[in-house]
Amino acid sequence: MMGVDVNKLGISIGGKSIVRDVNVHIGDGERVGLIGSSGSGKSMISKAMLGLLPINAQTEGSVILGDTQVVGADETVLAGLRGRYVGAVFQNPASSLNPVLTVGKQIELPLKLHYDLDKADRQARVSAMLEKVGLDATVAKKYPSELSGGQQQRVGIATALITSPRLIIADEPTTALDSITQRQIVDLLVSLVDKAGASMLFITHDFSVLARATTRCYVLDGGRIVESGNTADLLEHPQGEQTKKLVAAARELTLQRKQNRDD
Amino acid sequence: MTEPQVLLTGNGITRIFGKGNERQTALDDVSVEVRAGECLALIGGSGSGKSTLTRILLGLDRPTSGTVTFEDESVDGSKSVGYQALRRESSLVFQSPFTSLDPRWTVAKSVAEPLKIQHKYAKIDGSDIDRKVHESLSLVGLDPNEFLSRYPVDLSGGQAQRVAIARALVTDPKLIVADEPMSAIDVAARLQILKAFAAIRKSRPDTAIIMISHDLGVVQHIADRIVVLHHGKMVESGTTDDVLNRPKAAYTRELVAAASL
Amino acid sequence: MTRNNEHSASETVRTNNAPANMGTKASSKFTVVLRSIWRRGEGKFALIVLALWLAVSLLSLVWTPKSLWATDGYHVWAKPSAAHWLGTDGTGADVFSWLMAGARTNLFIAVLAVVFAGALGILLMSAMVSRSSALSNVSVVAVDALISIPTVLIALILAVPMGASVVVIIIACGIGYGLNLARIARPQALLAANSDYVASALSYGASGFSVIWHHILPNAMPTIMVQLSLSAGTAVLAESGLTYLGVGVPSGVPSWGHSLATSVKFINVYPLTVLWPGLIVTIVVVALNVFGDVLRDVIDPVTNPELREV
Repeated sequence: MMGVDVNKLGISIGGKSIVRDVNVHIGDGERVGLIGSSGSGKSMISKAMLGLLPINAQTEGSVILGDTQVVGADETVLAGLRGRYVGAVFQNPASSLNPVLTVGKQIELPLKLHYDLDKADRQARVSAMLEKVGLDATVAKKYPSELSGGQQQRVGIATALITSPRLIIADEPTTALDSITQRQIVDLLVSLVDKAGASMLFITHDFSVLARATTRCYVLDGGRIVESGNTADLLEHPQGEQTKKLVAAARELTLQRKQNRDD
Repeated sequence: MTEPQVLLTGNGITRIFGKGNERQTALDDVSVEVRAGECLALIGGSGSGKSTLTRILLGLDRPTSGTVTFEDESVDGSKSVGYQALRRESSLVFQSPFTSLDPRWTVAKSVAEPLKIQHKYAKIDGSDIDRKVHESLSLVGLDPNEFLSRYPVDLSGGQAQRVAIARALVTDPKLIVADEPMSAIDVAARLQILKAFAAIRKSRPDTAIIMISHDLGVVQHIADRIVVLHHGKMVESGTTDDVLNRPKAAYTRELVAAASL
Repeated sequence: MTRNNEHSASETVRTNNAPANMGTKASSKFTVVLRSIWRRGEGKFALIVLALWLAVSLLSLVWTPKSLWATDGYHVWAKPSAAHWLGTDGTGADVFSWLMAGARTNLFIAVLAVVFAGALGILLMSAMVSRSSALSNVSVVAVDALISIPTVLIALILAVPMGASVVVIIIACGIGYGLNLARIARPQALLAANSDYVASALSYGASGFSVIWHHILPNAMPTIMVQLSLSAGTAVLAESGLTYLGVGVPSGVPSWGHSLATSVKFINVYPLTVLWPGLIVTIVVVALNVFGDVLRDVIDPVTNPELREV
């Protein structure tokens, strides 16, 4: 069981409030989105969930993963949580992968940290994981720089999922990719998360990506949640100013072809 | 109605990098043509050769074979007449506005820079510079009084990119080349960039725009024609309407699907 | 719009109606920088010490409590008294007067060494990031090779034809710190040189020189200023060291190094005469280091929001 409950979360850095009074609930096995433009504070919320906020950040409220309170938790508690129960996929695969480690070693690392398995067992799991994310087994011997952006992000996903975490936090995982790859990565994440029965928090600034990735979402503006609900409903009937802006952008940048019956 | 004048052509452009076993064909016999006042979109994913083609069309790289001409003058090396004209008459908008604006320069200084540099060659009045800077900023939807004294750190991504566009615009170039001007920017702010380009097309009907992108959705409202590149080959080329609604190549169909909800 | 005096608030506040007149720009930028330094505790300390240094140097040109050459044979190595505020040295000369006069020599050396080092460093840095690969390769190798020669060795070599002289210190320090400056500022300069804004300037026809002057130098300036402040401190230290070795300030010319060198042999017997110049050198060097550190944050419009409102 791995639900997430964020209650009245507030984060400020150097006296400047970044996030205020944020309540987010992610049910077991649910895919939930967090959408907002840059500077809205969405990445801070994901960092708070991972216990990775900057040292000078002041937090209030609570973030409960399963039955562990993350805000103010001990680093050893957090380290046990991260990787094992919570996996993270980051925005820029080129910088979130270690350039001097082979892909195989990279994916194997979380297993080494959290499980007591022998080498053959670990390598078997790495191979299986590579296949799941649609990469050839030979990729294990390659270095990140030898891969395309899409392949790198697949490695990022494999690294996050290898320990079978119950919650995946995906922080703008497709923003750095081209549109075709973007779609493939979203579809891959959704199918893997659903198959594993895990929950996912998907962070983005793009409603068209959100619509594919999540069923429910929260709209963030200026550090506050301004709207929430079923993703498809929000896309149909946006209420708030910020939501309308994001939906309008998504619509404008989506192809309106003549064959389509536009409403 | 007569066809507008052809501004820039690339004819049978092939570019091969490396030698022997390392040979990589980045571009394979690609031909494009840009006419005055039109907006051409170059579409392709990473590794499609669109950046290489852009560099060659701007005379910043030489093709292995093929020719580039600007206003009927050959662009071949920095001494050529075509190259010199291209430098004077074209300007660039980069992908990330935050790396393309000097962090220690005000908006006013950045936008005026191209004019001040050209000032050395052609006499431009000081008050003329001010007027043109104001004009460019207003055209991209930024209030000069509010933004002139700001520094890039105090701008949002969309605002900074519009400053970069204003800078590209200020010399009245015949050609603006925008290299993925929206991919580093928030979706909500992308509309502002699109609006800025639409405003340029309206008020400067003779300025040609080459817009490079990986996303058909981004260029659908702005481009007159679309060229699709894939693995260094031109897989499709035609009017925006044709490419979006009647795509022929399999890769284009994939792109169309990716840009649809 | 009234100026906002709170640091945190001014970061979030955006002034929309910045003054349009550019006439007073240069002077007001200077005041903003000074005010920003003053507002920080350590900056206040540095400013006071440096201002005192300058004031004492100027004053010593027209007035010292006792003449430098007035020796009092009956009172050598005297303890501090009303007549001799910091006591006297081995010749019976007034220590306080000599230290005052020493201030101007050290200031002279520090300023000229910094100017020389700055000019050399900026020249070499520009060569190292130049777009001509021949020039940049040669200068990188040259700087790496020359930087291995210690400043003291340069001074000793220069002293062979020139003898003990202030000029030896200035040239030796200028070369040594100039090389160092070039190497330390290079990464920052390279970052700017390879940026899109430089690519953009070049695409409009900007010359290499104009790019270095307008884009690369301003972006490397915070690093350069810190390094130069540290160099000024090191020059004060070097003066003492070189003078002690006999290749620095010639005897008879007042300097802190000279005051140290003449009394250091008797440190066991008369520790106070060594303490005074030592203390002054330490305080001045610390002040210069602190000054450089504060200056970096304060002169950069990226890190100092107040500067962006000028």
